[in-house]
Amino acid sequence: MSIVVISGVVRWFTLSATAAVLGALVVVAFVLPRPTPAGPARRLRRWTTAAAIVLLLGVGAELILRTQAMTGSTSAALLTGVPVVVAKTHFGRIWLVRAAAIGAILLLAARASRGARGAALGLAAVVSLTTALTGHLADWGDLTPSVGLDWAHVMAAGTWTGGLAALALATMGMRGSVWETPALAATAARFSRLAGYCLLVVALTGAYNAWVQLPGVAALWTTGYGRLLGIKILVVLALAALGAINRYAIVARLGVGSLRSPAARIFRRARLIVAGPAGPRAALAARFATYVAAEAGLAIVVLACTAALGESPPARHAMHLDHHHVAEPAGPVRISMDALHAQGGVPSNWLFVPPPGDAGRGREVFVTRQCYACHTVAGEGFPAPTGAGPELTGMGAHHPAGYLAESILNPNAVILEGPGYTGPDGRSTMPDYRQSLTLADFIDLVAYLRTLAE
Amino acid sequence: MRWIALIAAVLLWPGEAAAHAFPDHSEPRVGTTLAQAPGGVRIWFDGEIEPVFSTMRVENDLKQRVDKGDARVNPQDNRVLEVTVSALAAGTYRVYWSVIARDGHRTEGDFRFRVR
Repeated sequence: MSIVVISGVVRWFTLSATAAVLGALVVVAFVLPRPTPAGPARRLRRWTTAAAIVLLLGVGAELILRTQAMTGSTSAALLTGVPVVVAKTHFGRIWLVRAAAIGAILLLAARASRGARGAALGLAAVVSLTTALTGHLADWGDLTPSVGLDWAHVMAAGTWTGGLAALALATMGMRGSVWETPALAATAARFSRLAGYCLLVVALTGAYNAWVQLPGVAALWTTGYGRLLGIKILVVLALAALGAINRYAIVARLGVGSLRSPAARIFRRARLIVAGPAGPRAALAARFATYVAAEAGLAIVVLACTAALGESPPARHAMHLDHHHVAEPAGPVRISMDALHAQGGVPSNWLFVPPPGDAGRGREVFVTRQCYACHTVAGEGFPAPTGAGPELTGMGAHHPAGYLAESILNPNAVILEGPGYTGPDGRSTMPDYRQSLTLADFIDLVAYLRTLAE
Repeated sequence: MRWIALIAAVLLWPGEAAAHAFPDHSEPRVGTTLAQAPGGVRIWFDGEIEPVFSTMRVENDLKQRVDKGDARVNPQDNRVLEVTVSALAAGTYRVYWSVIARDGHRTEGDFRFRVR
C-alpha cells in the first residue's frame, strides 16, 4: 500500500476522531437536557475517551508518516528523523501542541465535573486549530484570516458531524424512562438548531476556501481533486437531505412549538402529496434515531472524502501536474453536421492532431535542417547550439503534437514571455520553413519531437 | 436563510487540503539561455517551505555537481530556495529541487537553463 493511501486512511481516522471528541463534548454541554440523564452522559464520556485514544494513536502515526515523507527514508533513519521533525519544522511544532492537547483531553474526558468538560471542550478547539494550522490554508502564515476561517470550518463541520454520532449514541435504545418524548423533542430541537448554525458557518468558510483553492468552476470536473470533491458534494447533499427530512418531518412532529415553522409546514404538505399520510406519532422516536444513525454514517463517508482530498494536491496546482498527461483523441471523432454546427464549428474539446509520422526520419530532418543550432536535445549528441531557442529535451511529454506542429508552422502564434527567443520587433526568431520543408518532413519532424521524453 | 446556507455549503465546501509547494518562478528562468553565467540559482515557491529538508542541486551535462552545496531557504523569505554555483562555462545545466511544504508534504522537480 502506498504511503499516500496510508496517510489518507490515518487522516480519515484523525478527522473522524477529532469530530467525535468535539461533537460529544458540545452535545453534553449544550444539547442534552438538564440535569443530564446519567446513562447517556456516561456513555458519551466513554465515547469521548475512546475517540481521544484513537486520535492520539492517529497523530502518532501522522508524525511517523510525515517524517517518512520529509526524510524520504527507511525505518532506520526514521528514528533520527523524528526528533529533527519535531524540533525544527513547522509541522513538528504544531504536532507537539496537538499531541499535548489530546493527552490532556484524555485525562479530562472520564471526569463528570462541569469544569473538566469545559476544559476538554477548550482543548478540543485547540486540536481543531492544529488541524487548520497544518492544512493548506496555513501556507500564508499562522496568524492569518485564512487560518481563522479554516479553524471555524473545522470546528463547525466537526461539531455537526461528531454531534450526530454523539446524538445517535445518546438516544440509542430510547425506550427507557430517560427519553420521554418531551425530553427527546427538546434535545432534538436544540441539536437541529445547532446543526443549522454549523451549516451556515461551514457554508461561509467553505465559500472562502473554494475561492482560494479552485482556479475556476471547471476545475471541479477537469482535475482529479475536483472530481473527488464532486463525490464529496454528492454525499454532503445526501446528508443535508436526510437532515432536512429529520428536522422538518420528524423533529417538528415530536411536539416542540419553536420548530413548527413555515418550512416545516411546507415540507409536511409536500410529503403528504408525495407519500400520503404520515405514520403513527408513536413511531416517530424510533424513526428519529434511525435517521440520526444514518446521518452519522454518511458523515463518516464525508470525512473519508475530506481525508482523500487532504492527501491530493489542490486543484490550483493542477497546471503543475496535468500537462504531463495531455490527452489526444485516440481515433476519428465522428459527428453529424447538425452537431458540428451546434457545437460552434468544431467538436467540443477539439484538438488539432497531425497524422502519425516516421520519428526516425523526423530526426534526420532535425539534423539536416540543423535545428540543433538553436535547440538542445539532451542525450542526442548533437553539436552545441549557437543561437537562442528553447531546449527541446522532454518536450514530447509536455505538449500535444498539435502544439508542437503549430510552433514550427506558426511560431508567432504563441510567444513565450521572458526567455527572449524574440527579435527586436518582438516576434519569434524561429526561421520560416514554408519553402524548405515538405509536408512529409513536417509530419515526421513532429513525430520525432513527440518521442522526446525525459 | 438556512436553505440558502445549505445550498451554498453543498456547492462550495471544498474541505481541508494539503499544502504542496510548487515553483512560482526562478532565476535563471526555466529553459532560458543566458549570455552571462549566473552566480547562483534561486526559486520562488508559491508557499512557505521547510528549511531543514528542502534542497537544490545544479548539474552540468556530465551530471557533475556545479553548485557549492550551500542550498538554503532564504532566512528573510521562507518561500525562496537559493544556491550559489561555481563559475559556469558555456553549456546546459539542470537544476533539481526538492522541498517540503509547511504541512510536511514533499514536492520535487527539475528544469534546465543554458549558458552561451
